[in-house]
Amino acid sequence: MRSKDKISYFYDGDVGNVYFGPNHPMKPHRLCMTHHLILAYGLHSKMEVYRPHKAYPIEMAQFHSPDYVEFLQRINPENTDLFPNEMARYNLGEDCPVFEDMFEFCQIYAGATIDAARRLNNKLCDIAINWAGGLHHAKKCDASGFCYINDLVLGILELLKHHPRVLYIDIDVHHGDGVEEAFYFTDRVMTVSFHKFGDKFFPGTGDVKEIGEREGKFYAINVPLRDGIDDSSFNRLFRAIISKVVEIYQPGAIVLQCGADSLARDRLGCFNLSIDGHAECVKFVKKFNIPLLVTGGGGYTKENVARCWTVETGILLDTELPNEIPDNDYIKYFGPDYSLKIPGGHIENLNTKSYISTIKAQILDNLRYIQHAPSVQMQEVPPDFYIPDFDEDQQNPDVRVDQRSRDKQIQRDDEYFDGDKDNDAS
Amino acid sequence: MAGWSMMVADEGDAAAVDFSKTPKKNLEPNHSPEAVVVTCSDFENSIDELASLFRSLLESFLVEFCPADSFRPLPPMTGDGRAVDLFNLFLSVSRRGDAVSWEEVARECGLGLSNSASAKLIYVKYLDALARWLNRVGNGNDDGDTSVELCGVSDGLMARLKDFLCEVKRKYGTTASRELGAELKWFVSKTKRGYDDDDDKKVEKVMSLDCSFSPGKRKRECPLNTLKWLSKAAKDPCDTCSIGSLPDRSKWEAYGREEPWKELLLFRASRTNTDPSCQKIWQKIQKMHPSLYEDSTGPSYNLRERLRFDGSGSASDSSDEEDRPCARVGSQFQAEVPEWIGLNTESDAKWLGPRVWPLSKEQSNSNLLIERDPIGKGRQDPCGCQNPDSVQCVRFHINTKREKLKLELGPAFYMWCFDSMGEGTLQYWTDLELKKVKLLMASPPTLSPSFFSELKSILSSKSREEIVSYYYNVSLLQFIANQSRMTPGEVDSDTDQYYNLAPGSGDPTMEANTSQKPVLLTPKKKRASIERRGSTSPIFVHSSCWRHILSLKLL
Repeated sequence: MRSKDKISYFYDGDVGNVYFGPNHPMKPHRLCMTHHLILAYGLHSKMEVYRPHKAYPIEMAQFHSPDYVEFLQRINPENTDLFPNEMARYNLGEDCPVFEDMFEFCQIYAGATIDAARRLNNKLCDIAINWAGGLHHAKKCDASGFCYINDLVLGILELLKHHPRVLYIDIDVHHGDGVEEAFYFTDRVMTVSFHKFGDKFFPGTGDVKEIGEREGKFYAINVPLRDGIDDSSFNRLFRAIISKVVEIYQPGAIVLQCGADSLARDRLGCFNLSIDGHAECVKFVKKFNIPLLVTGGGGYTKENVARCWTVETGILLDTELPNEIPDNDYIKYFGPDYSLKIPGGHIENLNTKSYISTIKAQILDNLRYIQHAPSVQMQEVPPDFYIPDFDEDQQNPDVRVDQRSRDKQIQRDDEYFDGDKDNDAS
Repeated sequence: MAGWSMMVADEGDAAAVDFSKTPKKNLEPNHSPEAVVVTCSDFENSIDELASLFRSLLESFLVEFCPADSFRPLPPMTGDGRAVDLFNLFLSVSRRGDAVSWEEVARECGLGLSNSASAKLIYVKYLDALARWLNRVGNGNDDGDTSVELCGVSDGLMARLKDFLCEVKRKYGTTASRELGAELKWFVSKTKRGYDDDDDKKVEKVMSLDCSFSPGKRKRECPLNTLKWLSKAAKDPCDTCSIGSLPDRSKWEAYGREEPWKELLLFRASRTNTDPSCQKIWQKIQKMHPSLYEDSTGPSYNLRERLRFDGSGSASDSSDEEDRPCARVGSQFQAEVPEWIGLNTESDAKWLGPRVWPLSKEQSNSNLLIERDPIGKGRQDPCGCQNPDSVQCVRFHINTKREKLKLELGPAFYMWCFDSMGEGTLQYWTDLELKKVKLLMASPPTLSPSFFSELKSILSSKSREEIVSYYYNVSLLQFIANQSRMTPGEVDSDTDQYYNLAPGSGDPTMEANTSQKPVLLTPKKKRASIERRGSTSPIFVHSSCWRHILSLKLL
């Protein structure tokens, strides 16, 4: 364990009052609550807090199509009626509504992730945190699942400028489809996603059989889980898979998406993890001492999100936080206990031991295929021992060839002659 | 067919088959080298009966099911003038199952090797349909319902079928097995369950017969009227009067094979499970058009609702496969990842955002005297106040912390908008503005579209962010504070699900997350006092909850 990590934390005060719309589960106000809670515990004293720059459209176009970015910039709630075709094409309107200052919100959270990646690249910090980011469903040309701009892809592309391989880990309850799709064909990014799969759960992808294609084959790992997974099963599976992945893949940087909708009692999620169980993943990844970019993601029960990400900030800062929440302006949100602990959910764990072991076996099996054939060399290839070649033609034909030399004379199968009976020899 | 031929070889001559009479001798002599002569006149007679019944069955079948204009003379003749015994042909082919060697069949039927093609042709023309039909009748027995097969059948055909099958059954019941040739053995061994001799139950016996008459086509077949339904449906899927309407997909399990669409689904399932090429095509179609198999009008997922499938996590994988979006491949979907060429690019550090904390030297000059709490210190319970957990106590502690934080953070306090957090936001609202917004705020507080538009008309000075800020920092906070005190078991800040109710209605029938009816924060409540600045928060008096006010010192 090396000396204290340097942590950079990114926050912009304007995110607190972003409002997606009535009855929309995504509430950026949770970021405000998180930040407030972190400060209430005094954690800001141990890290550097930066205000992110607002991402420029040109930066967003590093991944997204320029048309899409331009449309996001131009559209606002008043003129959505004028562009019904584009709204449909870019999948805006329902799950991804157009609200006031939507583009500015995208600029903030995307800019923060890009800043975080740049700081890591310049070795200005060891761990970078952006709780506003982690919107992993956004695709190149359309919005999806409350996500408009995929800040993770932009951050990873930035990291790829300095690292040959980047590992992406996603513990949101939903499949990280946007990031996986973006890097489906490349082996420079390995995407690992733990998520609920089945029962037509959004987004519907993420089966264990999806492993990437072409050069990216075996560089996408999906861990499909059923409802109600608990801490012990999840952590055991997480540790087993991630330790193997890091050992084999040896990434230069890790991006960890900590979607908090995998917690128990989330409004949209269906897992049964406690905050400690969720934070255990963060603790485990931190131990590798690899440059780490931590982002937020899903999480639709505001108070639990704030609790979870505060605890995880504490873990990244090597600080254990007491359960009693200190007095702060938002303490009333954390009633009635005003504690960091959340009650467990009453859902049955449908992940049987055999199911989990089957999934684990399949994944570990797939990992064997990338042990020997990375496109980018992982370690120095040791030089072959020098074997002197002897030229057969220069040997004296009258001298008997000893056994050892004869062993070295390996006849190829497609040679035509059989011993001395060479028909070609004149 | 060796056995058959031998049995009648003694009698036999090359007499033509004539369906009009009941011939005793209807088989040509067999030239098989392994011929074994078995003489058994009784047996021969019973075989003759069976053969004649078969012929009459075939006759009526052809009349009923084959189109009137098709030319099917009986008896069928080969090219060189030999008559074909259809019963022998039938048995011969049936016995062989999947691998039919038509040369052998022709030889057994006494047609000669050269007539293998004729044998095949005659079989296809005359007997194939019958074999399939009989197979369906027999197989329909598995599902216990052959009404589909037999519903349109005429009485004459039905009668002949019954006779034939009863005869078969009699053979099974009476004839000793060792006297039977191997050919008849398989024939009767397929019949399951003993029959009663009760004539009334003959129809049910027909159902219970399990014979596989059809050679090589042991898969489930599709009956004719189902195919007719399918063609009608293909022509016009919306024509509900002629083809009926399908129920919801979830209810399909409840229907049996009497429905033509159910029959088709079962047929498809049986074919795709066994035929790999068919399976591939089906999977391809499924992947391309998952929406075809969906009944829903909207997208196939709904992020807003937690799924109602709690507990049914073991859904079949096949249904997931159908609805899963297909892989998106191409330049429109993937990111452009450059090749790794070594570390030579510099990250642009100059474009990074400014540091807000820790403060720079110039900013922190005024913060020399700060008493900081240890990092990560929690709430110290109990505090030293006289009335712990009272309104004043809570307010005092919150304000104390806020002041401390303000001193410590300096300019960062304002950059992070801490000044408008919690009740600090009230300092930016005038009394009049607060009055207006409280008038319109629903209970429990929500931000409905109507709320915004109404507020805009009467309160144009406040931007949307400020209204949202007010909602999160004052209304909602207050609501939850009350919830925590009143119903600590159920605290839920998700009040925006009720936005479609008219503001101010305070509808008591509305389903609230709390067990208590939301009558606390009515918009027309009185306020005791409010101060423009500083830290005192308004004290809300609830006219309907006096006893709570008196008993608890709560807000």
